[in-house]
Amino acid sequence: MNDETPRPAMHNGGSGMRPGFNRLLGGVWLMTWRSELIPRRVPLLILIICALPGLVYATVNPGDTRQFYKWLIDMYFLLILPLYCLMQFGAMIRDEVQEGTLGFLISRPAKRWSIFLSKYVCRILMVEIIAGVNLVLLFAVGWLRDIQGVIAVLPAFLAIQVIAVPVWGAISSLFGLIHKKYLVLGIVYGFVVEFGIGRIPGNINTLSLIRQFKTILAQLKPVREFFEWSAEGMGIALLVLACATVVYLAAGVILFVLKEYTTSDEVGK
Amino acid sequence: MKSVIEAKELSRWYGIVMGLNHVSFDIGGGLTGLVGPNGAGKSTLIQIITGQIQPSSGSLTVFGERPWNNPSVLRRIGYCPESTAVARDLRPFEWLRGLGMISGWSSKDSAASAERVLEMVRLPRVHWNKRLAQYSKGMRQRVKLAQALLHEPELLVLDEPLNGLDPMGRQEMGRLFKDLCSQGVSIVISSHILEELESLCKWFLMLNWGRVVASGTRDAIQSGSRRWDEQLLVRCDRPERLARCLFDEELLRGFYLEPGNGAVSFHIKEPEEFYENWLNILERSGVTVYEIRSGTRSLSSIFAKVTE
Repeated sequence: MNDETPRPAMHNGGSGMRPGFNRLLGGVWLMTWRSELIPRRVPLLILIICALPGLVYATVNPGDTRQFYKWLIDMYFLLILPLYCLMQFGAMIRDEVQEGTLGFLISRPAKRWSIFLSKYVCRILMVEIIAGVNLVLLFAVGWLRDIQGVIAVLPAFLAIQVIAVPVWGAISSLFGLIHKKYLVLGIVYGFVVEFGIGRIPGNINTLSLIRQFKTILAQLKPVREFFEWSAEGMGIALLVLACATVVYLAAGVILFVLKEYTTSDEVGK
Repeated sequence: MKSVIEAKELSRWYGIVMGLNHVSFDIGGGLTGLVGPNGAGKSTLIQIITGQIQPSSGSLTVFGERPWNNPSVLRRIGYCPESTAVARDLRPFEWLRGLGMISGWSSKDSAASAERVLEMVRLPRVHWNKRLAQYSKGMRQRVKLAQALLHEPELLVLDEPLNGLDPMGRQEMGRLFKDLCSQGVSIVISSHILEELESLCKWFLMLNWGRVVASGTRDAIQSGSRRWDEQLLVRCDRPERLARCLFDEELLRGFYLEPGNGAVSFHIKEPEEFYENWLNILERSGVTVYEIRSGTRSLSSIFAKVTE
């Protein structure tokens, strides 16, 4: 382009800007999926999706229902899924801060809470898709390994996963906002609250989210067969998960609105 | 001049470190240069103007409102940060389209707007399909400028926008800023490249140690600095002789002979006294003068003076 090329005018009469949550969500979603599905990341994504089903296929003997559900619940539902959410949602804002791109977002004409919520919603969608494919592959492996009635419980497991991602996402995004070492924070939380407090008898273990998921999973017949979890209190479990999602999300929104994430050259001097 | 940005007793601390210290100023329309050494408070000021951080005390308003978490003001501000960080994994078009939608454009209008601003910053179309990670610093700078223009702001706040651009690119951007200014866009530019800032801006705000040390047009700032020592650069056939004559009259604080080109730079003790006697001494010395230049006319020298 040389100097003689006429430069487009700044104001071309385009007064169609109407900031709103839908458009904001559309913009964030566009950037989320486009940056997630870049060629460099696709091999890693395939590895993440296929690694566990491959491992399960290699280790579960044909017809060994107990072993299959141990992998599916102990390894996938109660460990890998929360960790994956921690990585994905913890990085949601923190990566923008670390890479210095948050300024482009928070200087846009949008309320900060709406930016945070739209990022959260888009991340949920992305993680649900990836985790959904992962879960379907796991069940396909179960079917290939002659696990009885495995396809029949797939919808129920998918539904539980749909509930699990927002709650793990809410707490993980809060960790990401609190500290750059959100992985450490999440793991410490996991040990103290989920594996520590969650095993204390009495009412205090209600604080553990895994405890609630165990109650919900125990509604499924094959789970009851292999795990000695109580199926009582399904309503309370759902209520606790809903409350936890709202509380952690609200804390994240408040923190994001109030906290100043940009650093200044002057700070270090 | 109607104020676009108005600061009153504005301060900002980072713990015990002071970023801005009780500064008050007005910035009107047109091109305004923000000048100051590292740590002067420029970036702090820019971050407050663009609503990224809040003042610790005092106030700053843009178009009469506080910018922090205020979409109605942010709608009117375009911001280009200093850092070269961009969404590395995205292509410029998709990044700008996304940011356009976040700003409130529909998907279709956002695409049209992204195309328009990429053309404005003269990013060749052949590069539009490359990911930003593959871009040179200069190309990223253009994309960063494009995102600032995306929502047709009335105020552009540009932190070191010329960094990484080649001389041609700087000229192009200079022309773009002037074009925008003629269309009624107010621009605040922070830059270390004072010569270029000088050619672009009419108004300046000079910061040092978190304080405003001077503001106004270059001439106004300089006239306010008459009390300071002046500097004079003279190119003549016998610079040593001229320097000796002036030194004997005790009119100089010092001088510097530039080797090889017959130039001498004088640091004048009392400007009024110097200029009263200057022509007589020149005549007496018998040297032939080829060129006389004030060393205090440039923005760099004014800046050096006010930040001394």
